[in-house]
Amino acid sequence: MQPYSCIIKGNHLAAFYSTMDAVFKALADPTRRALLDRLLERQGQTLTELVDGLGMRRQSVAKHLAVLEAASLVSCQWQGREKLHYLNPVPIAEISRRWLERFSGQRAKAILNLRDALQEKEHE
Amino acid sequence: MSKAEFIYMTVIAAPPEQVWQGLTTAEFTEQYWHATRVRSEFTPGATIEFLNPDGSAGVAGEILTADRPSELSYTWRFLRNPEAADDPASRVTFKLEAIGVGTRLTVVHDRLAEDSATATMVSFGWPHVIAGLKTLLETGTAVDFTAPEEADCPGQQRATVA
Repeated sequence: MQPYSCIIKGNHLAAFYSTMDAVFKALADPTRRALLDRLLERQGQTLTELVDGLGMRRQSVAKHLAVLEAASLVSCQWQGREKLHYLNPVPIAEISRRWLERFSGQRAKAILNLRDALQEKEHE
Repeated sequence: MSKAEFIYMTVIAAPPEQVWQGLTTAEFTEQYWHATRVRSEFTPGATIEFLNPDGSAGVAGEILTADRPSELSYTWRFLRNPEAADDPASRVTFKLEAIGVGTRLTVVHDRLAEDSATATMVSFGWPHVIAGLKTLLETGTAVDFTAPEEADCPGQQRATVA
């Protein structure tokens, strides 16, 4: 479950796949995506600030934040007794670069081919 | 403390010394950092510039801390974009901690003016720069800065899991 334990053992590929599992699991929940959206709007929020307006119990929100933190999508910093939460989109960028782009690249190619084909027809 | 700041974290399967080189060597930065070449003496007070392929500086600043290979900090002025070029200098700090055979890299960008153009741009830029550094050091794959539509078959030229 901890993506980075593989890196400590020196296996970055296993670590990458483990990161992907944790990130996609974390992103599969609408509340957790809403929490990321709120952090994108404003960085460095406390649990109390994040609970506000979500219509959920504090304890549930804390659990969701723990999942996001385990997937490294949220990083935290203590300021006195307050724990501030920050959006950490680095794992998403990494998955995008190393995995997702392979598919979107092909799709872009397919759309370009389609466009060319349609334009050719037009000229005929 | 201002909340107009960003904290990014990743773990890279490379020792801190190698991550330090990735952050401070032009041959590395041009492969993942928006194709720019970093230029600095990396001593406190020295200037630092990220040079675009045409030789102009996209980012300029001054070294605040250079404690190889554990902490690097410099001021940041975003010259690349006219909207951000007049923003006051902000600050970026890299912390490199050895963990196992890898490095925990934390990047903090702070002293940003709230809702400034610089704040908006760095929030989009950093995740890609950091992910690019990680991918380069772990797989040797550089970021392809040619636009996908310019490449003949982008899917094959992009980084693959390696």
